[in-house]
Amino acid sequence: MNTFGIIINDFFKTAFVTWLLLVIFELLNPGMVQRFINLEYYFYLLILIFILAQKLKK
Amino acid sequence: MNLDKKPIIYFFRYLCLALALALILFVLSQAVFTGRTLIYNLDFSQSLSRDIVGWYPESRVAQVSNSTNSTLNILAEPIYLKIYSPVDFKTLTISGQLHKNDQGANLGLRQKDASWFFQSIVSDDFRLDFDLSNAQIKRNQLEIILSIPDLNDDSNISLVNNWIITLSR
Repeated sequence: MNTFGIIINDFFKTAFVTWLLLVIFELLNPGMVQRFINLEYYFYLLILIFILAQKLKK
Repeated sequence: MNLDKKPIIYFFRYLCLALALALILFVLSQAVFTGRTLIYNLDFSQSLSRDIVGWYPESRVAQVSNSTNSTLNILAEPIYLKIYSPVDFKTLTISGQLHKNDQGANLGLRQKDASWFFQSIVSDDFRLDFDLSNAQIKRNQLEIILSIPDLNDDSNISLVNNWIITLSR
């Protein structure tokens, strides 16, 4: 995998774990995260990054 | 070749981790509230902000602005407001101005049993206190209702854009 692909892959992994943590925070304390970050749009962005990472892997 | 690229990869890796950590810490810091009083200055020009949702339904209100001030005209009633409450407070105080032309207007707070606890707005300049011990807090939000029972097509009721909401404990 080229350098850019590795960077995107790392970015996706970090973003995904961050999203999971934020979802957990939101479930524990509703409104805490959603006031600042739209978790739904964040998830859609994750999908796009995942698709890009998969394309670069090939 | 790989040796040359590794510093770049590590740089972006740690940058991503630092940004993620900063984001999580920011969200956590905003959720912690240690003060005894939380004050919201309502801005009726925005129906959706970080801490305040409303007034809604938006079809029941109309924003009017002129050079001196801005007001929110009430076209239909009731209208609702949601207020974010990061921690449990004891008292909710709402103060502000409205032009109601001697029509009756009531502000209510949603209670745990889904009923409303109403208080009448007597004068155009008002200040009302609500006890939050029985208030319904859903998703860390309090719900307020503004009811104007005698509202009709000829009514000209408007809220001045200077309302302040104070949560205290």
